[in-house]
Amino acid sequence: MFSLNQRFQHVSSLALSCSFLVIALIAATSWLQLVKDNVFELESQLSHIRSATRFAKQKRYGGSAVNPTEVSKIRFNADFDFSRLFNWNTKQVFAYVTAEYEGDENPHTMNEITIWDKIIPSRDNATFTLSDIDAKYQLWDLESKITERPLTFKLHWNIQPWFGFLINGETTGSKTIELKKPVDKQKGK
Amino acid sequence: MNLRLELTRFLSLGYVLSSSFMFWMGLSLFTDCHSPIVVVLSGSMEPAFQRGDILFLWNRNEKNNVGDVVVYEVAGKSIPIVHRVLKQHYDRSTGEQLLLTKGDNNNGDDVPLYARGNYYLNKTKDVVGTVKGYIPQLGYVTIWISENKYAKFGLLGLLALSSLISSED
Amino acid sequence: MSKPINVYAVPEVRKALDEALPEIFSRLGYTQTFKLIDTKLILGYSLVVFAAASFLLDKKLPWEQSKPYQQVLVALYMILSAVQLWFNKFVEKGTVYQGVKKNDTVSVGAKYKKHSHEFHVSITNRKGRSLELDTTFTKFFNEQGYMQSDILFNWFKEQLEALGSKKTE
Repeated sequence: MFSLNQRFQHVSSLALSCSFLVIALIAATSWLQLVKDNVFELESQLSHIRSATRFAKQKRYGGSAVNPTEVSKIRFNADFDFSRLFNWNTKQVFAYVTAEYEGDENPHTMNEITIWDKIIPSRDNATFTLSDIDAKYQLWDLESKITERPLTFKLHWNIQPWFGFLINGETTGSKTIELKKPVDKQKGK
Repeated sequence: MNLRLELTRFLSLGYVLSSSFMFWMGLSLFTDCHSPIVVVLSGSMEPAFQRGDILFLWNRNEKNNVGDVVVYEVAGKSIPIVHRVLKQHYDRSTGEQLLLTKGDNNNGDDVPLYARGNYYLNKTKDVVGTVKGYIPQLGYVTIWISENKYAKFGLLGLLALSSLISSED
Repeated sequence: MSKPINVYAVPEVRKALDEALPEIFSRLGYTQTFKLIDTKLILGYSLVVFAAASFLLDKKLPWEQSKPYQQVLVALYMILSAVQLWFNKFVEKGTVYQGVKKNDTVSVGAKYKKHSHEFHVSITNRKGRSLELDTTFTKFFNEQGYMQSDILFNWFKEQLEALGSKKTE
């Protein structure tokens, strides 16, 4: 009756339109589920933020022998539960802690540095009570000084879906502190 | 009359090619990315992205946020890299933004991938687009086509043949 | 005609009838005029030219430089597509054949329904008089799919005579 070519064309165009519809439905319903679970107001607690700062002269830190850059290692406590982020369309949740601050010498700049991140693969390991955890990445700015400036530490999440849009969000427990000045080991420099 | 018949038949093939390409170009202009849909080629963002996944890009944002996944091309090297933004510095007065990226599955950040002497990417110059949408695995066909010599010609030939044979509705 | 077609596939029947008309009307003393067909071809190939220009531009210039020209090309393509849609709907309106004879012109149009063997034919002459009929193509094809060109010819001859006699009224 109808040739193989015609059947193939009919079936494939129908399959394509149906898949578009299904994918759009998945993306829309999982988004609604997130809104219903109130994930954009997820709570968290960041506390006991301590730092150890040193001077670095390498180019990698934007430093030089004459003008070294302050580089800080952070240690903190974090309490959070990301299980509400997991629904049928969540493939992975990426959690990350950042330090956000404005420029000092150049007041027009806005900066954000990730100090710690973690991949959370499933709902089972989505609750965390971390104490005395070391930051994965060191903290330094384009300007030489990072201490004695107000830094806001925040915990964010990023949902990687199976189908649809990548979604980002911030938790409520942010903490603003200033880091202590580095101890100058070599006096007279 | 025969010439007109052949021209009409050929036009239907030209139509398929023209409309697909113009759709692609229109999408590129709309998203402001020279390549608005990309296929993941490496495993450096696993387990979020696997080879063959399809990513939809958007480039009309003035600045990126930390945690965004971006596609960038280092000046001089045409290989696009898909990684996450680790650090950002944004100057409101100049509109310039410096980014540091890192693949989730990599141990270190991307500085070794940047141009010599650069420790940051420039958002407007280096970033092709930010990943906004995702579909798993459907792009694996393109990896197979680009890695298999004969697949490319075979597929193009099949497309041309089918539109010359098929009749319009 | 010599080749059998699938009588259950409306596009194939349509194609066979469309291709048979010129010969039938030349037997009835008409010469085909190609104004409509030529306009359709010119419109269609202009679209292809725009798309080809966009393609070449994309190859020659880097993205940022080519963007303004591509915007123009895509806009032109969309406008021309709209013109083509308008032309299809309002000017062509399902005309499948146009021809001239000494003092007379004829224009044959056909409207097919999906998955049905019934279709609507309209024959218009120069004075604007037209004959609209609903008929079925089971009259013109046999079960094996061979078109009965004699029956088709006689049917059109009758309709033309009916139209001609209407003329004198």
